[in-house]
Amino acid sequence: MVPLSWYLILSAALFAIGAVGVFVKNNIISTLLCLELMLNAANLAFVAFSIFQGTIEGQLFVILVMAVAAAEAGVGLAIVIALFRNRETLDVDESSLLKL
Amino acid sequence: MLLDAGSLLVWLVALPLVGALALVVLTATSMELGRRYALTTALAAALLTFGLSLRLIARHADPALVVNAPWIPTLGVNWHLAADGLSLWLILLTTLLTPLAMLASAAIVTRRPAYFLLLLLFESGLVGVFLARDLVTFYVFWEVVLIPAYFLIGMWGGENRRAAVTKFFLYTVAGSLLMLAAIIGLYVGHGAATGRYTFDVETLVAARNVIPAETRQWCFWGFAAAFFVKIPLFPLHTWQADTYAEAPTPVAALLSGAMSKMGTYALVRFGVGLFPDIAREWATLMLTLAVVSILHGALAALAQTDLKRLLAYSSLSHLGFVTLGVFSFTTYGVEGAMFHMAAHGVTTAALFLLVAMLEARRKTTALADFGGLAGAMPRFAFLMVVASLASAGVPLTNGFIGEFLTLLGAFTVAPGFAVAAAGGMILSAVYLLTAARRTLFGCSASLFEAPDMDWRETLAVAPLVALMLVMGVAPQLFLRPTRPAVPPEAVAVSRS
Amino acid sequence: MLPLLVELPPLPTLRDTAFIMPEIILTLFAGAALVLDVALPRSKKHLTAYFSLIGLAFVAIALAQQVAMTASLLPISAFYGMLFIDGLSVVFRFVFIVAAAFSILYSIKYLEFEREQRGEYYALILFSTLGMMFVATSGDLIALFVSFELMSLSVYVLVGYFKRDKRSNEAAMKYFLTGIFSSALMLYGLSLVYGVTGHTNLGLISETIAGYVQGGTAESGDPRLLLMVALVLVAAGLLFKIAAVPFHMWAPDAYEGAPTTVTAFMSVGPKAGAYVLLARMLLFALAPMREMENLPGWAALLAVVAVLTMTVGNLAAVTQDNVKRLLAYSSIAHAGYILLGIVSGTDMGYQGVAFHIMTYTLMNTGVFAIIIALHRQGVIGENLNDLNGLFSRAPSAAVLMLIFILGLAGIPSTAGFVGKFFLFGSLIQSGKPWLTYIAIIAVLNAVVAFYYYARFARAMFLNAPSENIADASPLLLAPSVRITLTLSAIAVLFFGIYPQPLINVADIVAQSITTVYAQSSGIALR
Repeated sequence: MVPLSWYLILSAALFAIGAVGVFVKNNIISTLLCLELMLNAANLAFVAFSIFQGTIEGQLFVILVMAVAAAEAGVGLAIVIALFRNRETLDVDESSLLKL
Repeated sequence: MLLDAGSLLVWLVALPLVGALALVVLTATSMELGRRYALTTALAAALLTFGLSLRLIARHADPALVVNAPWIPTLGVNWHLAADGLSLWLILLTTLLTPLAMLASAAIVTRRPAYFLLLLLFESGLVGVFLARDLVTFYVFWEVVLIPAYFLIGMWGGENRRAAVTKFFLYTVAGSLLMLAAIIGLYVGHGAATGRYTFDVETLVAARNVIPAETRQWCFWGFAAAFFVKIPLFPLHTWQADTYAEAPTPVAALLSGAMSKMGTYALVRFGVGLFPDIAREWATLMLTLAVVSILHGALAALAQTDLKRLLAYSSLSHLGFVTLGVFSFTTYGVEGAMFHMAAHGVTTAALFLLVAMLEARRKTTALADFGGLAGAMPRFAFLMVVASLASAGVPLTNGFIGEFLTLLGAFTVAPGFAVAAAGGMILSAVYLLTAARRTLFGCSASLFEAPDMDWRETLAVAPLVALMLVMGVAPQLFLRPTRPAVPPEAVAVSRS
Repeated sequence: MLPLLVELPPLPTLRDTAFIMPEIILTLFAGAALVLDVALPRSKKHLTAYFSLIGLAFVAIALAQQVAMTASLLPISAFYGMLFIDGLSVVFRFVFIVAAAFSILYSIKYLEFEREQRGEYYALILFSTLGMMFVATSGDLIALFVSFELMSLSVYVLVGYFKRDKRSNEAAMKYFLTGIFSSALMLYGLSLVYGVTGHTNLGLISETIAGYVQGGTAESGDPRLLLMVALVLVAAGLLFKIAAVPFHMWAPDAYEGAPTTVTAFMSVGPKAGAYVLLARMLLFALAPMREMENLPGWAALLAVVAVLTMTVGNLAAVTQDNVKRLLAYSSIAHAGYILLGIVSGTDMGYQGVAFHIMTYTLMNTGVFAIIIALHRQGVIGENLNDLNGLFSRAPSAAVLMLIFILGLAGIPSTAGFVGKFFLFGSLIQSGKPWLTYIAIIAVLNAVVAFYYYARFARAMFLNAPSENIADASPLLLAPSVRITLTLSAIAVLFFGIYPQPLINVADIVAQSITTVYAQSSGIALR
């Protein structure tokens, strides 16, 4: 049987890859994918904990997070489309009307 | 009863607010109507307040003259107002100066309703400061005074009013926020030691020794910062000349006549009342600052070419005497300080109002632009001379009594300081009489043709000049009510 | 391994349903608003706004039924601990309703002017409010997360509501990306919390953690280290949401780019929602981790963040010329002040937090309402210079704005002063020297804040009107807006002069935090 720690290491690695990706990717679609990766890393951790502790809440949580993630993707892509229609680019660095 | 002892105090604070509200309603219905009746309404409210405050003289020893009701029970904040001999004359002064300043505001032509409204708010705040006996109540009024002052100077002031008012605002706010921290410090210190959380001044004064010494040391400087900015005292005085010079002159009269007394009054009641031991510990430093203020103010006044700036520096110098008296810790010194607060308020306000009349005629206050006024305006010249003499501290005027008593007090404990301060008195005679000579007599009589003061202007200044003489001739009348109210902590060397 | 047979608890009863009656009504009205939008002709779209306001009124009435329940000060749990009702949740749901109602009211003319009058705008505000209301009643990580996301997702869309405006697009994108990022951080932290404690119920989590922190037995290693990681992740996510330094960079951009009415809404409603989430997590679920042996608790962490937040917020605000950015930084500074109350951990501090959030809602929506009104009159109203001479153009608007600004600055005799007094006072009251030093830093910060708030007064009253204003006609506020603003201003002054009634309300919140949460380990919310 695969021990819990393996799941957790995988989940932490996925989370880290996602988090780094958010900062280094310039394309908004890639950034969105990285964010999804982070959410799913959390999901993996939830499922793993749930199985090993024998409690059901973690799996419930995962299903709801998946629904939330779907809604987020919907909103995110809608914003991306609006942005693309106005600007013809998806490069984050080109978005500089608002000074940082 | 609406006029029983306690509600008398509430009305003193509330009446100007009612007047201000009436102004809002008037201007809301019709701007024209508002314009016409703004002065009348505001004047009525201010005069009524003055009338009420006159009742205080009759009742000031009345033990029922107090309002003490829970305000924010969660914190132990009380709505605590009381009047005694310390606050008596300052309330009268404030309520007297406000209507007079309104009378002298003919030069204000724009947005008059707002101007009078702010004056009324200013009056209410000042009276509140002089009545408050709860630290939070006191702090609220203390800050409330600042807002109308800010707009009065900022909206109707001179050329550089924006810079001046920002400086004034930041100085004052920094000082008062430090005071707020000190107030909370005292509150917590007292609460932690006794289990009773209160902002009541009398309780805190009585139980001041239970508060840890280190806390009190910090708190003293928090209070001192706010008071010294407000007085002002060297080296925190640099906002003063700009602010007074840029303020509309009737407002400058109120600032130097009444607002600066907030600092000196609070110094006696709260600074010395709550921290007598610490204040005494630092007395030498304070006396030094007072003497430096006196001399610096006087020397700077000598060098001024503008009447308003001259009066500003003269104010700095005169309030130095008050501080000197307070920190002498003698009966003469403290009584003299209390007397001199009222005396300086009357005199400096009269001088500013007189300058306002010159400004209304000539749109300038530079000394060089005047001369030979005595011929064209004899009534003005007479009042100006008397006021200058009073400010210079000539015997038989109020200035003499105040300065003499404070010097006497200071001389018994620190002769050196008293002698140096007396030098300031001589200088004040020089710059004030020079200023009076150059505006009134001078050579170029034809330079200036103007109508003499009309009845309204005379009404604004004559009572003040009369008061100067009354106070100078019969000082006991004014000293007697003050005497029992002087906090025992403030007096080390008794008259015996 | 999972048990195959779980003993089913009894089904939810009508009693449980009664507890979420306000939310049920709100859901129905929000859905109906969407349908109504389709049914109404183009010229009548604004009726959706009034429909939404009526809906909020009904929600408020339903919520009023729950007021009596808070008298006992004990939380009432529903749906097997998934939801619970206490003083905090009742009071804050009223705050959300007020924030939503004000935002809708101030939006009507603005959207008309921008030719963006569509019913979905109001539906989104209602859905966002629904999310906040569930945040306030959630007793479980699952419900908390999902309802918080409902709130946030609606606001992301609202920020990008002007589809053709590039700034609105950009603001929405930035807000969305940072928002999701912070959600992911928080979610990962929550998964660790769940892993360590084995529970998603806030009360049970708190109980379990209390056991660990007090040195309870742990078979493998110190669970506190994993909890620390979880705490840092959860806290980072939460601090993102309230725009605390160093996670504040999104706020000025989102505030500036969003439609001004949405800025008004998000600066009060979702902001307050995030504070509630913060309170639920830190003061309830993770409450035992406030201070720990050998390890820094969240109090120290939060204290550092609070000091940084108010200092950076205030200093950055000084140099801003765009009103919306300035208010964004001022809101960052206020987040710092509010964190102080949580750091102090005293009754007074919690009262201050609740009091300040309630009054801040009134003051901030008021300021934005005036800026929105300026916009309508052909003045863009986003630059501080556009306010020049407002007093001579529109005296009543200028005076109202002044009252709100004085409130934000915390001048005595306004409600803003009382809030700050409680917050700063609580630090000194806590009796810890390092908190006293923080109080002094806070006071110095207030001086800086006075400076930039005074710039508003200076522009409106002291400066002459600018020449380049397109429309010099007097500024007119719609009667309903004027009345609401006047009432808000009166409330700001009234609660500044006589704050006791509102303090009593704030005390309900403080009590539900201290008494209930202190015993949280004893209350199983099932």
